[in-house]
Amino acid sequence: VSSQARRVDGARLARRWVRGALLLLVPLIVLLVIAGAFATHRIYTDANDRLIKQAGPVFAASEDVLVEMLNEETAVRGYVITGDPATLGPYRQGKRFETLELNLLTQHRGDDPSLPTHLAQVKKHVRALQAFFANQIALVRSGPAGRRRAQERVLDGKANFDAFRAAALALDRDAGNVIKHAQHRQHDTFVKILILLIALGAVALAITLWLLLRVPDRLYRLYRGEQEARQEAERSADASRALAHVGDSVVLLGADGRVRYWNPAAAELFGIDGAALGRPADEALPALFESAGWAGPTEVELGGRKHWLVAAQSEFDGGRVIVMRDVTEDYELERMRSEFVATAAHELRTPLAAVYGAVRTVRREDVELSDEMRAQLLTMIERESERLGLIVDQLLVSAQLDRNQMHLNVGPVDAGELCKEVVESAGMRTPDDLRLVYTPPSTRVTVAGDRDRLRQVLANLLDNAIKYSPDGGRVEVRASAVNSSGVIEVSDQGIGIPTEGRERIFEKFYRLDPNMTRGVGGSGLGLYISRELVRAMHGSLTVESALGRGSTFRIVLPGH
Amino acid sequence: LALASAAGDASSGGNEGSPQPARRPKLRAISGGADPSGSSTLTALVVEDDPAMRMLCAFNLEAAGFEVVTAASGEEAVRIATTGDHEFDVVLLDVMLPGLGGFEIAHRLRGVPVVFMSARTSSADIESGREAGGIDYITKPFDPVGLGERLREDLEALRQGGAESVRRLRFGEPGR
Repeated sequence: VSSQARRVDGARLARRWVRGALLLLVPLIVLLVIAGAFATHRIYTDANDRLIKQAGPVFAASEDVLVEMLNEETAVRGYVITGDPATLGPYRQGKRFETLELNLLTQHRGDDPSLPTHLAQVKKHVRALQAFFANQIALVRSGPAGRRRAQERVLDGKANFDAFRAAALALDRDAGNVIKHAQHRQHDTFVKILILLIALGAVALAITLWLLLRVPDRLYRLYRGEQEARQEAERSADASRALAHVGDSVVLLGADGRVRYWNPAAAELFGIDGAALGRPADEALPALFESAGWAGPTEVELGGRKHWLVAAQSEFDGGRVIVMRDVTEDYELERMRSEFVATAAHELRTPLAAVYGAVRTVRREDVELSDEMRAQLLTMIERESERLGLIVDQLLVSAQLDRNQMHLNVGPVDAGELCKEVVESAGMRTPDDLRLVYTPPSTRVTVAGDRDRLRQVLANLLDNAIKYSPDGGRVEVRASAVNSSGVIEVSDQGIGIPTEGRERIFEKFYRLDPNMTRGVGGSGLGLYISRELVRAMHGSLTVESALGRGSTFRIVLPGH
Repeated sequence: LALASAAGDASSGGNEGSPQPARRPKLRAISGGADPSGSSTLTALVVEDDPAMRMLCAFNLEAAGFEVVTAASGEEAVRIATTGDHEFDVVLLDVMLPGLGGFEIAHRLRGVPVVFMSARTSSADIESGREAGGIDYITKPFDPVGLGERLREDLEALRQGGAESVRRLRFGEPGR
């Protein structure tokens, strides 16, 4: 869960970074547009200044030409009236300047289309006026007649001057127009650039906002998707690992019924090798293929061994998964358990039958019972009831041992004394053809154990020795000390135990003769309980036997 | 009654010096007749290893007018049945016996009607009894007082309708 949370955090972090970067772009674009506008404005104002600087002289020159010509005309007229050469000063100065101004105007014609025309007219009128002025001055100098004649032409000169003034004013207007046009164009350019800048900025902003709206979330989803894909891949790998360690056999069949996958447990159970891959299941794994029809645990022979298998199948679009569990052990245990229930029932019924039968017989009124008979039946009821109690005890002890609830009172036990007690008690129910012998030890043998439980074990061993000696013989119980341990042996000359059963007789529910056709009943618990009890006392219970010649059970307990 | 006494001797024949005769007292029916519930005296061989059950069966069968011979093991039963002087009308046979088991004895005693008795009550056990040729299978615990009547009815059914008709009666049911 935490790693998944971390991954989601990673995706969120990526989204936050992209969003932050795009958000940063917005003020940057705005700043760029403002800077661009500012720069354009600066360029615009600088150009205006330059224009005024450049156009200013043209404007001034055209006005100067008019002023100079006015001065010249006034001077020449004064000279004509007064005949005083001193009045020609402004004329001469004006003539000099006027040439300069005209040259200046020629250089700065600008791009007004009417300017050259008007300039040419001004020049023409200036030349005409100059020629007129020169002619007047020459007339005045020629004498009084010339002077009169010049005075008569003053009006002509005025007409000439008016024509010039009109031309000069036109030129003046032109110069003004040149500046005005240039200013208009610059302003237009400035506005256009500003609009372009704002438009571009707006587009950039729009794109940024669009990206801001779309990209971070899309990136987040992509990132998540990629992470989920990776997690899915990891899960697949985990699933495969898990299957490798599952004890059940798992086989995957494709929709075409061919074998596509199996886990190691299946390989082991069915002995599958690589050759099975892609083969039809009914050929490669017939047992598996048939399992669809199984109703419950089914016995199958695989590799020469019999197995009880339980199968589960799940179908899906891509095929079929078959899971098989080997329940041989469970099945065997269950079989033994139900066998045990039947056995326990039998063991309980046998004394119950005697008790019930004896009671029914005692109560008979149609038959006169002797006192001896009545006493015998009552003894029978008593003894069989005790036997019932003993069997119930055994069942309970077994259950306690199963749940590790057995409590032992371990203390010093005189093994010899205990053997003697048990032999004496068993002597009462010994068949006549059986000899029960107790051999006392040479020295006192003291072991560490639970006296009551040890007596129970010994009684059980002695019972078995008697039960499995149908033809009588000698049953011997002896105690001895070996090193620091105490040894108690119970040996008989009975039917003995086959080699294969010598360890199994200590297993729970195990019976040498499960069908009891040999007739010796038992709960299948006596030896199991005995060994478990001795083990709980840190001792051991073992058996030696020769088939047909008898068995010797040996208890070894730590000395006290 | 003389036969009953002889039966006691026969059963303990193999155990020289054993206290068996004392444990199995001679039985007397107080109702006077030797044949209280049937028209003829029937002879039964009771094979049972448990001394208590053996005694109960013998006592109650004798009380019901049977002549009873007992055996404590399969081997003893086979010996009595094959070498003894008795003609048995029926063998009451415990299934679980030391040495030779009940089914094996039934096999060896072909010709004598066998009634099994057992504390093994599963249907498989009862089926085994059927296969072993028993005409009846009495499950323990049962009432030994009604045992004689049940055996008599079994034998009557056997005489009239054969083994299969007896088995249809109450094979595998406890005695009432």
